[in-house]
Parts: sequence; structure tokens; C-alpha cells
Amino acid sequence: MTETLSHSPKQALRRYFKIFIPSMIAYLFFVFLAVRLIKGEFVSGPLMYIVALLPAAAALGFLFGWFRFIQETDELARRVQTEAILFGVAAVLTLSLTWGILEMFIVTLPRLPVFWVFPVFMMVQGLASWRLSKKYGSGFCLP
Amino acid sequence: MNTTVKKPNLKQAQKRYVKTIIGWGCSFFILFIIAVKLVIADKLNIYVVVPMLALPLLGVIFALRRFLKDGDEMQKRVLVEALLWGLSVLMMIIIPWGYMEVMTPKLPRFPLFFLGNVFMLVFLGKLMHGHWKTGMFSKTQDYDPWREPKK
Repeated sequence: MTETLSHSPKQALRRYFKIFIPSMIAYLFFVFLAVRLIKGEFVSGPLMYIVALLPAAAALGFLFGWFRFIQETDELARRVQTEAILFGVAAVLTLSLTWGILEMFIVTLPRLPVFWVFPVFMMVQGLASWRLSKKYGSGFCLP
Repeated sequence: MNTTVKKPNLKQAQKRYVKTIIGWGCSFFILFIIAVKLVIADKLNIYVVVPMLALPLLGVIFALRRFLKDGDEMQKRVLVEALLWGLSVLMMIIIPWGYMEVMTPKLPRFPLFFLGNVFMLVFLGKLMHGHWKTGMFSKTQDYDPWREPKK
């Protein structure tokens, strides 16, 4: 098992923000760019899929920074983040397994796009993180 | 000063964890079969079924949360790593596919049902791998994080 506890919590937080801020700026830029290029029909064919993938690449960059923070930070912050992730996973699993299975059997059920899974996860995780950081008295609740 | 640290009952925590997971998991599948039969027969409203099926899944997650409090450091670390692995693979599928699905209407719809299975597969696989690496499955030595180090 790799040991990555060579940073103090403050250093870990600083390293997190170094990835979070650029990836969020890139995310916003790529979302507007992709919507403009695809809806305006400036791109087509395989290039359209590459353009649609750009915001996803920025979002995955943010996830990398967040997971690295969880591995590098102290015990309390890790516990807050882990429990908050469990709440997010609970929401995603509940949504995908129940709605997904019922979708397969009941044709009249409205189809839920997979796009909404990530915002649902982040919303539940964010709320849980805020609540748990207050409960445990942890110094920071990540954006 | 001679201080003694009370050894926690890890076996009890593990047993409780396994019992809860199996209990909630089985109840999910039983409830699911009953719900599908009742919905197809028009005897049950779909909006009652969804929260009913969600309850056992939430039970599994809360069993994991309780284990995070009761388990020892190594087990917690293995659990966190498995959780991050499962989540990483899940996000690597849903984020790119979700964007492509929304922006390019020609792309086939990704079945929502597979997401939970993908997560569970990666999560449980990594959990087993982590336990195997830390010696929890070893036949020759009992797993005991409180054992004296070898001299």
C-alpha cells in the first residue's frame, strides 16, 4: 500500500486548490465552448465527440485533486470526506439501481440521463461534507 | 506510567458488518422481485416502489459507515482506497458519457442500471485485493493489527 502522508493538512489543502481552481476555470470554458460549437453546428463527426469530452476531462482533473487530498490530509478531514462520499455513493446507488432496474421493466417510466448522476453525487456529497465538518469540528469543508 | 490499551473486539465488528451487508443485500433482491411483480400487475404505484427499494441500499451504506467507526486503521484504509477506486471508475464512465449523451443526440443511452453494478464490482474487487494484501485472508497467520512485531 502506498504511503502518501508526507504533507500537512494545510499543504494538502493548498495542493488541492492548485488543481481545483484551474480545473473549474477550464470546465466553465470548455462547457461554453462545447455548447457553442456543437449547437451552432461548427463541428461534426468524430470531432464533435472530442469537443463534448473536453468538459469531462476538466471534471476528471478536479476529481484527481480531490482524491489526492483525501489521501494526503489528516485523519479527521479524511473521515469527513469519506463519510460524505458514502452519502454521495448512497444517493447514486439508490438512484441508479432502483430507477435503472425499473426503467428496464416499465416502459412508461421517464428515462433519466446519466449526465445527472455526477451533479446529484456532488450535491449530496457537498451537503454531507458541510454537515459533517460542523459535527466533527473539522476546519474545512471542501468546495 | 504503566498504561494498558484495551484491545477492541474487531471480530465482533466484522461479523456485525458482514451480517448487516448480507441482510440488507438479500432484502433488496426480495423487495425488488415483489415490487416488479406488483407494479406489472398494476397493484402498486411506481413512486412508492422507488423509495421502498432504496431503503435496503441505504442500509448497506450505513453498515459501511458504522464499520468506518468500529474497524481498525488498516481496514479503514483498505475501505477508503476501495471506495475511491470504485468512485474513480464510475466517474470515468459517467462524466464523459454523460456529456457526450447530452451534447450529441446520436449516441446510444447508457443504461442507468449498470452504474451501481460497475461501482460494486470495482469496489468489492479492490476491497478483496486490499484485504488479501494486508494478510486478512492468510491461512498461516491470524490477522491481528495489535500483534507484537516480529523480532
